[in-house]
Amino acid sequence: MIELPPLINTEEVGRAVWDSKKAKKAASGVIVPKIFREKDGTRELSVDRVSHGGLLELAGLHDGERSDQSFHGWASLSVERASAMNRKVEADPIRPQNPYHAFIILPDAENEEFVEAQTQHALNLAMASRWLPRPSGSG
Amino acid sequence: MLRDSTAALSEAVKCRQWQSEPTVRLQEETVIPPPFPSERSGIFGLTRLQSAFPDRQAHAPRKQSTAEEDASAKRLNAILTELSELTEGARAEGRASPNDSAIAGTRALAKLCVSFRLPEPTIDLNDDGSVEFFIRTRSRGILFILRQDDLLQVFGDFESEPWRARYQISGKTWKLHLPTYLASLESESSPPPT
Repeated sequence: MIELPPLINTEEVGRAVWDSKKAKKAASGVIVPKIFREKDGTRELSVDRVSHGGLLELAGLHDGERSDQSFHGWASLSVERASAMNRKVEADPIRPQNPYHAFIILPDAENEEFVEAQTQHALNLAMASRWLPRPSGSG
Repeated sequence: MLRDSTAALSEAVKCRQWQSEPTVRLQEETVIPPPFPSERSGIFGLTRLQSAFPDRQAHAPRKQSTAEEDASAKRLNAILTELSELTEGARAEGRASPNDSAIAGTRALAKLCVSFRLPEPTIDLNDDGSVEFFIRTRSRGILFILRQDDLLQVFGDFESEPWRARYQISGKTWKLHLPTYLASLESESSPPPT
């Protein structure tokens, strides 16, 4: 079982992308905010710690998660940028399947304000991200 | 600075009286126009607003050559075709689709967009039938959401500084403010990092 070190600001976390249209856009340099927009009211965004290797393994894991979509890669950004606007990033290893799992956690707010803030956070995260395609030869 | 801010306040108050929109919020900070103009926070807020809307006249789309007009027409056609396909697809699958107001607003937004030298926007539909219209340059991005309830939400992120605004789609103010938003993107309209 892999044990990752504590999170540091310079490492990167990536949000998995399955939607082929969004992946194509991302590969052309435009990460759309919707990649980082969870359902209304959800504070946690699942991400992978992508600076510690294991990308092949992660790609294989994500391939099996959605029956109707293929995994294409990650919208990736530094922990420092992911932590802007009072967000937090916390490691959340899922043993034994995904020791790389982490959460970006949005700051709390009142209901209506929070739903709008979710979109604002999604935009900020998307603007800070770059495209990290799945490793070649992994599917 | 105070004189400039007072002038901006006057402008903002006129705008407020003319129509109940817009409400411009700068991240957890300011609702414009401020209720008490003499307060420092209000002046600070207006200074920020003024920097966001420095000169409406200066941000009209520039005139285009015939070749540029042809290219703009093609770009507009591509955007409108995509909107149409998304809408028809949603209707065919029984999903929520944008209403006439949101479609008209998106068309107006697209027309204005192509009049500036900007990268291709990304259009998508949300589960509630609202239209998402996203356009970005290297370090600046604006997300427009045109909802079925006549609300236009504008989310901006300029050099990592977030801001947002709300308008009525059926109102006139967003069409006055939009050229300023888009001109601010045009000023650094190089391809985004890959």
